[in-house]
Amino acid sequence: MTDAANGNDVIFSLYKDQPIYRDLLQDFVSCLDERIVLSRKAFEARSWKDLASQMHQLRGAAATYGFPILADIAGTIEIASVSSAVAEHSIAVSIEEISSTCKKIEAGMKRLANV
Amino acid sequence: MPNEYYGRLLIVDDDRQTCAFWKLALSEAGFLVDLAHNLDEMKDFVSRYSIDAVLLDLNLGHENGLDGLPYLVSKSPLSKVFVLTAHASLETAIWALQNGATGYITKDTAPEEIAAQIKKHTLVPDIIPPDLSGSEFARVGMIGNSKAFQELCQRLQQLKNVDSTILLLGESGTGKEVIARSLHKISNRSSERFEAINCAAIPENLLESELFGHKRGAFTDAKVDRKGILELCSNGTLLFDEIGDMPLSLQAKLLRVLQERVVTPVGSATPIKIQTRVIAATHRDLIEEVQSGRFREDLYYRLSVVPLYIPPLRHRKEDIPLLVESFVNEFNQRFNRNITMPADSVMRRLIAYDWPGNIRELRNAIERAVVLTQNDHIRVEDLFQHLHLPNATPKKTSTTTNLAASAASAAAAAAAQQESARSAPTGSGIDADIDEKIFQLPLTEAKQAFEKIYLESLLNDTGGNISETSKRAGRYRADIYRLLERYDLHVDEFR
Repeated sequence: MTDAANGNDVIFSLYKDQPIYRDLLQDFVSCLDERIVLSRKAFEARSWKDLASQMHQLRGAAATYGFPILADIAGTIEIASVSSAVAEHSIAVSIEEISSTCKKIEAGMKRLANV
Repeated sequence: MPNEYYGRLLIVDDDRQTCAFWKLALSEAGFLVDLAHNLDEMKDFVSRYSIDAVLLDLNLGHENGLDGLPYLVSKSPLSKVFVLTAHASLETAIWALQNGATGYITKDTAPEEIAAQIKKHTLVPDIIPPDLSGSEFARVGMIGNSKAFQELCQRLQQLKNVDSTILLLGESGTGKEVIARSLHKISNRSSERFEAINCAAIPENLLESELFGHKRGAFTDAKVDRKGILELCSNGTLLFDEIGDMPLSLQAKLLRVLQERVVTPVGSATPIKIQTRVIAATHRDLIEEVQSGRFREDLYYRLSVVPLYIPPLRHRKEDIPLLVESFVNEFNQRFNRNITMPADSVMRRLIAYDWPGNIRELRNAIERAVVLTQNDHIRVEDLFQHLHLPNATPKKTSTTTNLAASAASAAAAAAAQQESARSAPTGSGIDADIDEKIFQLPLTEAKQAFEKIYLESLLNDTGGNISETSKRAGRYRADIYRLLERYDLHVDEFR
C-alpha cells in the first residue's frame, strides 16, 4: 500500500492497522537493509544461486508481512537469477528498485511509529 | 494466548522472520505453534508430538520442502499437510496434492484465512454412536474382526467413560496411539482435545516445559507465557507415549500431577487445576524397569490402574485382510491411485508373514506397494522389497541370516522369492558388515534388521551364552529373551 498519491513516498504494510503485528513489522523492516546489503554482495560476486535463494526468502517474507510490492520485485530478481541467460543489467536495475522500495517501507514504518 | 485451542501446528520454513509472523498470527487464532527451519527439525517434532497440521514451505534453502512430504504422510498420517510457498505454481500444487498434501497456501494469504482453512480440515467432528459394534470401531480408526480385536473393543467400551488412568502395553507398532485416540473419540470427552506426547523423543530439559507450560522469562528462550499440554487439553485426553522412557526427575512431577490434579508452569508459583484424562503407553516391561530402578514404583501403580494389553499382529492374523483393505483405500486416496486389493495368492503371503514391526510395518509395506507398483495390482515383490535385497546371503552359520531376511518369516521370504526373480537374494553375502542397502530401508525396518544381525553376532561370539550376550549388549537378560522371541531365534543353535 503506497501513499504516493498524497505526495508521501512511503509504503505501508497491509497489516499496519493491526497492533499485534507492530513489533514484528518493526523487526522485519529493520532487517531489510541487511538483506539488501547481502543481495548486493551476491550480485557483485555473480553468485546467482545465492542471490536467487536470498530473493526467494525475501519474496516469501515480504508477502507474509504484507508488502506485495516488495515481494513482486524480489520475485523478478529471483526469476532473473535462475534463468539460463542471466540478465545482469536488469538485475542491477531491480536491485536498485528493491533498495528504493525498502527505503519507502522504512519511511512508512517511521511514520507509523510517530503516530 | 487466547482461551480457544484448536490444535497443534508445525510451521516448517527456513526464514525465521516469516516463521515469527506465522507463529504470532496462528497462535492468536488459537493454535499451539512450533517452528522448524529444516527437514531434520521437522522430523524431530513429528517424532515427539501429535501434530494436527503442518505448514511446509516448498523452498527450504538447500532443501526442497516437498522431500519432507512422504515422511509426513508416512510417519504422521493424521497430520494435515499444507504446502506453503511464496508463489503459486500449478504444477507443484498438483504434485503436492497427489502426494498426500491437504492444501496449498501462498504466503500472501491473510492469516485469518489460513487459520480458517486449517480449522476446516482439522476440526472434523466425530459423530459416534453410543454403542459401537466391531465395524463401527473402524470409524474411529480401529480395524479388525478377530477374537483378540473383539475382546479389545469390549474393554474399550467398558472404559470409555471412566476417568481411570489406562496403561497400554504392547510391542512397537501395534497401534497404541490409534487405540488411545479411539478411546478418546468414543468417550464423553470426544468434543475436547486429544494430545499425544512421545516421552522418549523429547529432551529432558524441554519435556517439563512442554508438559506444564512456562512463564515468560522462566528460561532464556521463554519469550512469552506458554501453556503446557496438560493444561491445553484439561478436559480432554493426553497420551504419554513411551512412558517407560520418561526421565526419573520428571516422573516425580508427573506423579504429583496425577495425584493432585494440578500443574504448576515452570517459573510460576501458582498451580492450575486440570481434569485431563491420562493414558500411558509403553513397549517396555515396566515391572522390570521398576525393579531396575529406572521407573518409580509409585508412578507405575498410579498409571497401571487399568492395564490393557495390545496383541501383536501375528496374534491376530485374521485382521490382516481388513487392515490391508483399509490401507490400500487410504493410500489410493492419498496418492490419487486406483490400486486393486491384492490377489488371494498375495494375501496368503501377507498372512503368512509374522510382521515383527506389527501394524506399522504392514502399513508401510502397503504404502510402498501402492507407490511403487507399475500397474494396478500389488505384487509380492513390492510388499516385501524391504526384506529382499540383492547380494545378501547367510553369513557363516545356518542360523545367521542376511539383512534381507533378517526380519522376514521363512514363509514370506520363500513366497517372495518365487514371485520375484529380480529381487531374489544372490551373490556373495554381507559377511560381518552391514550391507549398505540398510540405508535404503525405512528406519523401523532398518533398526529391526540391524537388531537381529547384532543379536546373532553376539550369540555367535558368546556361543549362545545369554548372560554374556546381555552383558555385552548392555541389556537385561529379559530383553535378550524378548528379542530372541521377536526374531524367532533359538539359542541352542548358537551353542
